[in-house]
Amino acid sequence: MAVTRCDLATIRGRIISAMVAGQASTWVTTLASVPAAEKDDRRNDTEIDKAVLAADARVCEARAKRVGDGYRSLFLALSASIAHAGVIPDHLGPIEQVTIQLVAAGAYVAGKFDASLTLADIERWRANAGTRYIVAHNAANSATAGYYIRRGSQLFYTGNDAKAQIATFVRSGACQAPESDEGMVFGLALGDLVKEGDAGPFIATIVNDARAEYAELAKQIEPSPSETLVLAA
Amino acid sequence: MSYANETILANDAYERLKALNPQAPPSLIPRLVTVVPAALAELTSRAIDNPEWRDALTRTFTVTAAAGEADIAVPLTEGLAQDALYGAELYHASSPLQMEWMPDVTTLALLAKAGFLGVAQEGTKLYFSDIAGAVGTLAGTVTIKAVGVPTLPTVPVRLEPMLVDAVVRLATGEKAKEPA
Repeated sequence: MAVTRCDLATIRGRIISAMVAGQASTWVTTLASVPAAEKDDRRNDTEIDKAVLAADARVCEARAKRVGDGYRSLFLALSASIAHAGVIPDHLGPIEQVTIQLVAAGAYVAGKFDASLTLADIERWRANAGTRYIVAHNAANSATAGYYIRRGSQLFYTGNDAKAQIATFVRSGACQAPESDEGMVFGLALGDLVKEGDAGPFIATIVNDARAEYAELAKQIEPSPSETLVLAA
Repeated sequence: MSYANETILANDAYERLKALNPQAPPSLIPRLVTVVPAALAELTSRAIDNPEWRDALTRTFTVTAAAGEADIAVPLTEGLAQDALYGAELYHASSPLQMEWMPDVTTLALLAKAGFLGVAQEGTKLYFSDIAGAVGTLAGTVTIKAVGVPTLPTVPVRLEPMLVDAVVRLATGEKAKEPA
């Protein structure tokens, strides 16, 4: 089921309610709709939107970085092809499964890594000196195909091509955090919009709650044992 | 079953190792491939002493003899890295021409015995003589039967368990058991 994302207009409306509109105002989502008597000329909708989208980006980035987070999948996708010894494309947090195309035009399958595998193994298998491994690492039925090892941001592997499951985030004109994060996005944006004379206890409570929630989200979940090996690769 | 390629054999051997040791890493598989030629040679070496297995690995080659001499360089190598005829050991040679010399002998196997058909090997050459010891008279086609190191896909199914066993043992450094 597709996850509903935060709605920019809704959060803008909540900010207007919290910072601008008085108790008698009705629900509005643009400053133009605020009754003249309650208007605050120091603000405009664009300013609010930028703050909301910046807060949304912080929440999205935290979720995208967090291995094991239930919403990390919203930001995961297979990377572009990575050449042998190539750099893994820009990403947030640890990479997930490396997939390898064993032979040209073949399907991508899960890459194999284990603790006894070394970079020297990979290079030796690729070289196949004296055809000791019978067929090339990227030939059909090759026993050497499909292994990989990471050295920092570089990926070394046997097989025809490799891609990695990576998390990325590209900011747009709409919120991308899941709807359940609305309160956090709202609170973080509110904190960025506070101006001289705004900092009442009511706003401070909302902002502090959001920042505490965000701090918790920004912590990395401890990987499970099975993931540890992958992350160490 | 029949092993179409080394990867299948290495996978089988790996499963055996994994059953013995669940911690056996998958990166063992390429390493197992490198012992397959040695396993084939060991299989042949062990089979040559066992009549039943030896027959399974016996191959037939045809060479041309002229003036009592035949060149077996081709069946010895057959374009393979290892010798096709194990240890270049010939144990059976026959020729239809011999029927002219010894019409009372109908069993070709008997003709393989040096007493009936003088056969001498030197390097890649075979030399034939008739029963009287006359050298340089035989001309025509000669059939050679010898144990050869098989290529993987030609290993008889009944010897495959022994082959897997050889791969596992060579990979783990264990000694071979005597043939049953």
